[in-house]
Amino acid sequence: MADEFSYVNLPPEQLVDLEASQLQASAIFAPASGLYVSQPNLISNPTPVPGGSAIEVSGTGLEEMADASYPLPIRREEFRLDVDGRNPQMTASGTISGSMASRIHWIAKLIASGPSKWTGWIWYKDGAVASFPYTSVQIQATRSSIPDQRMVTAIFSGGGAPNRVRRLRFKSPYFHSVNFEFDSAEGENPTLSVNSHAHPNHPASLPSENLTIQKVFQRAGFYVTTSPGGTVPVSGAGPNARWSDQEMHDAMQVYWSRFANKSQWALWVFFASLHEMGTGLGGIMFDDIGPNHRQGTAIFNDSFVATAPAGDANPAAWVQRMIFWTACHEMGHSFNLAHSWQKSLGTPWIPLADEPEARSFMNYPYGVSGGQTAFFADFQYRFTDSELLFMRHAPERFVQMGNADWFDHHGFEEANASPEPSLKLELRANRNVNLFEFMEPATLELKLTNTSSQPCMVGENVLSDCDSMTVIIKKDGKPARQLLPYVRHCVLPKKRVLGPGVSIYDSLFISAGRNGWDLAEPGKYTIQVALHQEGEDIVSNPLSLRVAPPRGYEEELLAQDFYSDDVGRIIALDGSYFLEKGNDVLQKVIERLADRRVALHARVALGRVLMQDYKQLVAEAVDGRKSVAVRLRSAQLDTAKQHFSAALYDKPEEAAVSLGHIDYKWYMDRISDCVAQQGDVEYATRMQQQLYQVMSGRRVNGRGIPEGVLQRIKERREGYGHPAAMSEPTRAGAWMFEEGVEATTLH
Amino acid sequence: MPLLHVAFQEGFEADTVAVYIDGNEAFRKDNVKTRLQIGYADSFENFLPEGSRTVNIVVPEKNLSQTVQLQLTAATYLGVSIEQCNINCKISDQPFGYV
Ligand SMILES: [Zn+2]
Repeated sequence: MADEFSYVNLPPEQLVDLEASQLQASAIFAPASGLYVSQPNLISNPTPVPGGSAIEVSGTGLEEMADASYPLPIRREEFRLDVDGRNPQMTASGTISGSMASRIHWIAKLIASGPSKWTGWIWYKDGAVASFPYTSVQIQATRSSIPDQRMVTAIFSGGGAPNRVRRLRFKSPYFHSVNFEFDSAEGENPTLSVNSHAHPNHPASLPSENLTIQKVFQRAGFYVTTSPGGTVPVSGAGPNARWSDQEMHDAMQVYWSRFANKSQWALWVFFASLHEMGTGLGGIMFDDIGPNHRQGTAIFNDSFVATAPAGDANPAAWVQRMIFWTACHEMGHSFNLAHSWQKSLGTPWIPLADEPEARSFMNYPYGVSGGQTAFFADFQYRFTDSELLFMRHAPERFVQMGNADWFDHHGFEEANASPEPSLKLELRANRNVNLFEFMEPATLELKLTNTSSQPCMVGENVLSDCDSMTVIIKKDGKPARQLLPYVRHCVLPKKRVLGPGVSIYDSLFISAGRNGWDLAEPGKYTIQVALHQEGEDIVSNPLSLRVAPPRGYEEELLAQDFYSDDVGRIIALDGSYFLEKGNDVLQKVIERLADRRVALHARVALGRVLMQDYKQLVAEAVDGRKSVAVRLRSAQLDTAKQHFSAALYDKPEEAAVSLGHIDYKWYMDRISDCVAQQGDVEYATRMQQQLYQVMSGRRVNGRGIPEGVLQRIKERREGYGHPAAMSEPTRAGAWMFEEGVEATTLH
Repeated sequence: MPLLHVAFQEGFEADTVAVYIDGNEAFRKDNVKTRLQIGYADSFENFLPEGSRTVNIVVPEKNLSQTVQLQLTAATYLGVSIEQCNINCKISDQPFGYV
């Protein structure tokens, strides 16, 4: 952190703006929100061990080194608690800093679980996430009227790791610090404040006050300092006296006292007469120039923002408010905030919904229904909750000026994203309309294509290795969650070549993971995936899908048992002999919801278990003494076949849609191979014949199944007559589905 | 002769854009790209005879085209955006402002 901003160092003007509650003398009412920090810890190994204990070094003098560029394996932890004060987001987030390579950032959504206690699920992780497996956090705050005595204790749990307990001390009621410098072109005045009631059109509930720009950003959670402003000669704008972006960038380098070619929590704000675009440009975050974006922003005093609508009740107040609003808007862009109607564009840090009617600094007042009159009648001089969440809790490099590039790299791991990626990742559902039935488990398809003209190396399991993939699931109106998949494979990191134009495919089960059912409630969801590959991040398209509401009481009732960890695991892992409670639920689903797609998934999961012999460890009492025995449970092939016939054979189109093409084929292959080995070649051949028919007829948004895949189905079917030719199927067949340039035209 | 101002706003991604007014090419440019922080890519304007004018906007690489029929009597501002694989137009009698 560039600036020290401990509570004790706050200058008087910052104290004045703190919420009244934040200055309460009573410890009970003392606020808990703010930034907490750990004492730096020395770890014995630069690679953190999950749940591993750290050696305390407080008092050894090593603390000071934590602010350097971490040349030693010293870990420092920041913790942001956002539960009270102005516009609380009921969120905690943290950054654990070691080296750049081992930095971890996490975000949790909180609910109160007692006085000064909160429980949260961790829905977002970034950085070295493999060393931070936790899925939930419990927080206890120690409130005090004396800031130095405020503490939080955070217990991280879940993810199969032992609990991780941290005590952190209060540092500041703000989440980050930032410095502003307001300079003006010769002859221009900066507008740095507004009287909130000066214009008669304002919300009735809006307090009357003299609001400054600094106060707006303090309320957004920032400790704001201001560098002295100065004047910029208008000669910098050239003979036409109108500023181009490059001219302003040049002026910024000369006249901004803090200019540096690096990322820092500091921003130059420039008030001038006009941009070279003319009166139509009210202001611009001009700095998408050079390697460090978003450091400078400008407001044009003589542009359209200085013209009140005809007949306005107080034109002078209207103009001052509009210029003030414009300044905060442009500064918002410097924090990497997009326009309210552009939130879903590009690669947002989490999938975001557009907010075209938002009463935010980031929305155009004249763009909402009812125009600027309607906008200002409801405008509370604030950013929206999703904007505040981003500014307060997103990884620092997304927000900090001069760090992540403006907008285009406004997302996952953009520090590593290549400007010209050679790989393209597509995320899709194998259905024409992305609608899922209530309780229908959702499996999507990933397609990775080498779009370059050169062969490239990719991990052999790049599309199934959960550690090299981030999956974000965002339900409309709710915060995004990160899918934490149940472990499917443990594989050696082998590489293989992906030729130019070649694609590989795999399926991705997204409904449930280690932090519960992410896709359950009816409503609209947006899903996005990032692959972390060779130090580069490949981000997929955001995919929108909808979960339909339940059809009736029976579904609602069964859903209560269905959305359990047991059932999530059984579906994700293709069945389990041991999760008996979950199997009972699936049996009920088959009986009571026979015509629903969820029954098809239930049958596949139960059928898969019955297909093979199972060894099971059981505790037994023998002669009054406990012992452990291995029991063999034999396969029940006939029952398994019944399940598969009902799930896959009777309604094959339905199965291909609901399971997804890849998994549908995989199940069909496994079952037909299994029955062929048992000698029922006729049944196996029939299954492959049907698989061929279904797959060759499939068209999703005009695309069919690649010819190579159909050819391999034929080969498998013919192979059943010649057992020696049979091959072991591979899961999802990332490479089995490999297609060259000519085949991609089909798919 | 009234003014027709055509502004290319949201959704342009280094596209080639052509505009035909009454069948005559009035504008053609490569690399038209929205600057997202102001929601603006490019613009042009012409003074045209009063009356009915047919404005046809084409983005060939995206296989998009849109035709707008305008009754031109006074200064007219046409905002053109690409949204969800469609060309959408909005018409105003006031100049557009960007921030
Ligand atoms: Zn803007």
